[in-house]
Amino acid sequence: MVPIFIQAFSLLLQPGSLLAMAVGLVVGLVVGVVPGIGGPFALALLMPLAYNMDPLFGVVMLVTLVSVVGNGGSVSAILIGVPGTPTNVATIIDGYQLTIKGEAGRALSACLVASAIGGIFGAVVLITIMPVMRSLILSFGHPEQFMLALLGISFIAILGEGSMIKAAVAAALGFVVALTGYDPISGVPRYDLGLVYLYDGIKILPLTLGLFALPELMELYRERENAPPRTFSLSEVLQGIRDVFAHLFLVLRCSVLGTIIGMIPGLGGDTAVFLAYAHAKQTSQYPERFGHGEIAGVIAPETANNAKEGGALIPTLGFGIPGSVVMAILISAFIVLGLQPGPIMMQKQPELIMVIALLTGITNVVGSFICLIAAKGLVKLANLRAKVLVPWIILLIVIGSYVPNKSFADVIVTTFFGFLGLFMKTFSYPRVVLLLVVVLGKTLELNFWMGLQYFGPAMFLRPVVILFMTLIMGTFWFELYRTKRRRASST
Amino acid sequence: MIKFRISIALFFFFVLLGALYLSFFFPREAKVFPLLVLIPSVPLAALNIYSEGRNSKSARGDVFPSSFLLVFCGVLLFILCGWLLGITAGLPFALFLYLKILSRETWKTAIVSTFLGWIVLYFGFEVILRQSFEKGILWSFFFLE
Repeated sequence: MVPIFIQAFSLLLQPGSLLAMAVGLVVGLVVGVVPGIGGPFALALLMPLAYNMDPLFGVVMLVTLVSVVGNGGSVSAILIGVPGTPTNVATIIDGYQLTIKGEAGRALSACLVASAIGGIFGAVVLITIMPVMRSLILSFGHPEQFMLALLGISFIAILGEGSMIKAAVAAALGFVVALTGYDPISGVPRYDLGLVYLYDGIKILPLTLGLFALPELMELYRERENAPPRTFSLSEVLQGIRDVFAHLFLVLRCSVLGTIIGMIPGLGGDTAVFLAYAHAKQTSQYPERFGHGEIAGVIAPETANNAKEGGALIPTLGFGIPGSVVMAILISAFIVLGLQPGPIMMQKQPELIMVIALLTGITNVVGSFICLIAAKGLVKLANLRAKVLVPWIILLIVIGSYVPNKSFADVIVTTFFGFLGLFMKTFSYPRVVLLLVVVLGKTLELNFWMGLQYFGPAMFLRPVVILFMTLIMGTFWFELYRTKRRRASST
Repeated sequence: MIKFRISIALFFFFVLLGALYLSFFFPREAKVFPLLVLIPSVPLAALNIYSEGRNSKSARGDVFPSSFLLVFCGVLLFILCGWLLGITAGLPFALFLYLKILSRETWKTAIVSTFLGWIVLYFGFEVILRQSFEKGILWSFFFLE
């Protein structure tokens, strides 16, 4: 192991590798900051460039890009409330609220340090788990994936502040949105209302931009008059770092969560960040603070977001099975470079696997550091007058929802969900529950059917499934008990 | 505005009821999961209407942000300009109109922002990121492209 480590490190220190790393860093961060683009697009963009490179340098550039794109995305999510990449969606919920409170610097530094720790954790797991990963991945079947998704939704819905009935209504609406489009089992379109656009379902990014970014814009006019200026002092940065270390156990748990979810093909980054958010809220002493600028609500999803990359690389490199869309593109890029991820690569080119693992950790730290340096200037941008800032954010929202599919229909969907988000916010329906269900809805249904096909009703008797069901029931009863006690103490 | 709270609850109820009704017509594999979710959800949505009705008696009125119209007019302006003139020309133009008419900014701010917007869209997206945006409908109409 040690000679491979040294060999990989020396490969990384070559001038060509350093240059490729710099290109990947710059492109990854810029693409991350600009809403609506994200990792898959950036990878596709750099693939032709990598094709003409030495395979090592190409791998270095592409893996660096994948590792840091989330860091850039978190900057725009926190500062202007528009997620740079879809996996930064959960960061907006509390990150942008902290910015409104005048604690942008604290939120950013906590987010970036947590991201770096998550990234390093994912890399360490990637290095150490290789020999035993096969049995781990295979132990998580469809019933377990179904229950894991259900667990995430239940935690958010049950533990959210306000009415549980409203949370249930929001979840049901989320299911209707999630199930719109072709049914994965029968191939029949559902809830399409005769519109061809809805055959493919409602895309996550336009929906998220509408639900979260547009209602916040309206607040922006009002809060700017009395809001403290967005600051970014050294003391705030240090406070953010202290926050991360004060929540170190949460960071470790979310790193584990992110890495495990990253490992499971098909669950995806959205699941990782929302489950981490739900977990942070569930275990917090102050769950009512979530959604109003709780620092743990920034730390948890960002840790999981970066940890999942290391996890997703495990099935990608170990079996050639991509853990996510980004990994699927990465595999195709590797093949273009003449490399074949899988058991043969692990046997014949272990130093390359080590290079990738090291990169995942190193670039996360470097990316976070660069973002912290650049953040001071970006915070100044966020201090612009609302009258000037709002049209710029609208432009970014329109571009963010238009670019992925080049469709004005997506922009109209964003506007529709903007209205819905405003109503939900005004009348206290939890928007995050709706979003989480939309993200996990199809996964839930697919795994439900696959679980039933493979195991029949016995899918609910598997040990991990029973454990998850017990956790859901326990959380429900705990919340009922807590509400009863609160009422008793208030009277 | 008090009635609005109940209207929203009613709207959600009818959306779920409509979805439940549609679900009965799907093939077996496609309808099981929606029915599992929606059958318990519709009574909950009905309960929500009752609960909102009770709450609204004590509520003093729900007020939307005053910027509601401004932002949605802005969004519609951007969509309209993008559709008519294309993304690269239409969005900077919408930015100009927003800054000049809705925000009542100075000419200097409006022109500089518009130029920056065009640089971001043209150089950032079209040149560097190699995105080819569609020309606007007016462009096609007048130049028959």
